Amino acid sequence: MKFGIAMFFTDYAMSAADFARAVEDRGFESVWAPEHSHIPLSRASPFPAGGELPKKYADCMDPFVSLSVAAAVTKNLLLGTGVCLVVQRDPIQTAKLVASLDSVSDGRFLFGIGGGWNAEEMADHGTTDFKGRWKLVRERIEAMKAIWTQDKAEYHGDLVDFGPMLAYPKPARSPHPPVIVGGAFPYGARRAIAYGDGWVPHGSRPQYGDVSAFLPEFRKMCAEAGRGHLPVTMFGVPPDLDKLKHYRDIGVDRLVISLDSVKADTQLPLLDKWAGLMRAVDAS
Amino acid sequence: MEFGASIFFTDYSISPAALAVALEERGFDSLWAAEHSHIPVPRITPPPGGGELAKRYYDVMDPFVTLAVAAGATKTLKVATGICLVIQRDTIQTAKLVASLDQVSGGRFLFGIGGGWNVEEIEAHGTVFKTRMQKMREQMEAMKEIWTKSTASYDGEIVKVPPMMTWPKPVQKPHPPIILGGAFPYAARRAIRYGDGWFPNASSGNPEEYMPRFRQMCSEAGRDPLPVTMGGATEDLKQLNRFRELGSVRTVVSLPAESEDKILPVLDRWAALIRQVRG
Repeated sequence: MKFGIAMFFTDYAMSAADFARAVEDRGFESVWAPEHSHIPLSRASPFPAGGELPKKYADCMDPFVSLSVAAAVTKNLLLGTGVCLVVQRDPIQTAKLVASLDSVSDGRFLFGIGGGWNAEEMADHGTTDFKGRWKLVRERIEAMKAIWTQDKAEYHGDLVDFGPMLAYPKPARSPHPPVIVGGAFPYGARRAIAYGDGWVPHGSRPQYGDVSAFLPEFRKMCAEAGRGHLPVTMFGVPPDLDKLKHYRDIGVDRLVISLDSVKADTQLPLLDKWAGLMRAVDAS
Repeated sequence: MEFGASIFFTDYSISPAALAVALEERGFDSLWAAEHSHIPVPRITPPPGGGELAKRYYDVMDPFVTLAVAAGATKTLKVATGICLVIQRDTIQTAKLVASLDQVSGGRFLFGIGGGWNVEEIEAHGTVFKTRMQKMREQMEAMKEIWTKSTASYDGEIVKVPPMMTWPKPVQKPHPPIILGGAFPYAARRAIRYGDGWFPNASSGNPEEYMPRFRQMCSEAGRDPLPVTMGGATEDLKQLNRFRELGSVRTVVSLPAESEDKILPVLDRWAALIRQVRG
């Protein structure tokens, strides 16, 4: 089981360069950058985790910038969007960002994607059909795969439609970086099986409790769909050795620990603590 | 006068980190990254220079990625879009990219922008070609709101941003310099209207004529002379000295999208020229 670390990169947190180095030095596999382009003042959509929306949601930097800096200062660390809100992004521009980041990092990019939950935020990017947004996610991902893999790429969907185009570089990793689909069981899991290379559930949510209960069903669904072993990347895990071992034993492939947006003096001890837990899981 | 170098970063060119370090070591002040999101086929709009469109136009990487890498590898070098086709980009996302890059570089970003020329490419991003210059102005006005206000909003004819919050704000206050790329007189007028600098190319028009006229236009508009970054510099000491005499604050050489072993000797020659110009 691999361990990754996520943080909202802000101007009051450790810098992307220092954080990425610290994460790599401690033996973690990956670093993850979430995103929100902005937060509209009209807060109508409820925050999925409940309560008030934390300030960091309005404060986080663009993940492609943070991860590019991280790529520049590390050698082996994988770099993930956790998650990229593709319904808020132009698919041609996003395909270029992904291919560029994968190229400058020599194939270290993991393309975590999601459909988002903040209807007002996505409406400001022209995505006004909140209920229909997952179809837009699927078409945009299919369109990006065409751009990444075809010499003269074209895509003709209901929502995304473009004629033949030239766009390079192609991603360093062939055929493209893994598309890791975020979302709850069963819908997120089904989408991951339909067009993803991995699934990202949240460890727990008020509406479903602990996600590990759904893993056997997910594996069965993968087998029935002929997808083989789709890696499961679980976000939101507690610092509890027994729980971490449990996740490993039931076949979770990667745990991603979300840390607060804080400076080095607070962050480094937390990273050390998690590195200790990671070693304890590996040793057991 | 400062010296910059521009390039189309591709997966066969010198890497952003290697070029950035090489420039910083040789006394250049800035690295400029070009962009095209894609090139639609068939090719309908002729390129501004005529002839076939060079391969690098569809091979070029995203400039915010390459410049973030360049910033990560250097300490003082300015990183610049040269130029960013903002009309092909979402306004809110671009404001965030700019603020983020200015943050990770410690305030070293120069925002070179332009309105583009490739009708098919521009329209593939949902932008109407004929009104693209109005859109660009409105986008920049909206981004300035986003960069400088705790609660930002913008209500233009083409660009609309409902009240919103977003951080980080750029390190440079009030925001990174907006440098309008393009020929005299139109791009010059845009620079005076809503920019902080102008970026013409020496090969388009005659700098002997437009440099004095530009200073006069700035003065007539009640603006101090805006800094001019002169593109299209060649390895010609007389020409470089003349750019300086005409009042350019910076000149930029366009490098080919070639590998490190081809680029470094070119940069070494430039390092010698830079020393000569600085006397």
